[in-house]
Amino acid sequence: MLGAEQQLVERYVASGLVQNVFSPVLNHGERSIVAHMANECAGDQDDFWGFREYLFEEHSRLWRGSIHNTVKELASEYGLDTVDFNNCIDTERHMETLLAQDRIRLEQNITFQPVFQLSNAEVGGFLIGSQPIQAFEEALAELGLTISQ
Amino acid sequence: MKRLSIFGLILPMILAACSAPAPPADIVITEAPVEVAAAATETPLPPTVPPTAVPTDPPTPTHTPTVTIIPVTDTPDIPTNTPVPTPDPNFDWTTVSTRLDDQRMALGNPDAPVTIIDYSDFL
Repeated sequence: MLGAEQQLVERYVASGLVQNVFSPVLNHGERSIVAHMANECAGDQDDFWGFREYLFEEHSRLWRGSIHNTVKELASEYGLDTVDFNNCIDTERHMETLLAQDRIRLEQNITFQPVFQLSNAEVGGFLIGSQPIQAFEEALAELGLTISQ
Repeated sequence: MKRLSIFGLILPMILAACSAPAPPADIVITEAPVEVAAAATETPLPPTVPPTAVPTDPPTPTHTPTVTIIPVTDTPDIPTNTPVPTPDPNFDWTTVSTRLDDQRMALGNPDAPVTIIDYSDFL
C-alpha cells in the first residue's frame, strides 16, 4: 500500500487533483490507539505526514514490547522533540480526537482495513484492501481523472 | 495640449514659490527680496537655497503642489487591466496539510476534484 500511496501522492496529490484524507482505524486496541496518538503528537510538531510514513515503514516494531516505549523510541529516532512528544503520549493529549475519527469509520461499518473511499462531487466508490497503483488509476479515471505521463 | 498649457501657466508660480534662479521680483517677494534679486543677478541661486517662506522639509512640499496642480488622471497608479493571478501549475500541494472539521487530517488541495479517504491502521 505504501508504494501505491507514494505514487498517488506524486502523481495526483502534488498536482492538486486529489486530496488525501487519513482516517484512523483503531482495530487493535491500545496498540492502535497509541500508534495513532503518536501520529497526532507528531502533527503538533508539524510533521504529521512524515511521521505517518515512518510509522508505516516501522510498523513491525509496533507489535513488539511496550507500545508506549516503542513510539517514543521511534519519535526520537525520527527527530521529533521528545519532551513535547513524550508528554503528548503520556497525557493522551489527542484521545478525544482519535476516538472521534474512529467513530466515523464505525458509522460507515468499515471494520476492515485498509479501505479507500474515492469520490468526486457526484459519485464515489470503495477499494477494499491494499491495491496496486493501476487499480487506483482505473478508479480515478472512472471519476473523470486522468493524467498524462 | 491642455496639460501643457496649464503647465505653462503654473510652472512659473511654482518656481517662484521654490528657489527660482531669476524670478521676477514681484512674484518672488519674500522677507528679503533685495538679497534674492542681487544674488540672482550675480550668480544662479543653488537649487538648495530656500526662501524663508518655503517649509524646512524640502523637497516633498515643493513636489506636492505639482501633483495637485497638474492632475493627469483620477485613476490610481495601479493599472486597471491588472491580470488576476493564476494558480501556479508547478505548486506542490503536498505541502498543504489541513485539519478537517471532523478532525481528520487531509493532504493536498482542499478544492481537488477527487478525494481519497484512506481508512487504515498502522498495525
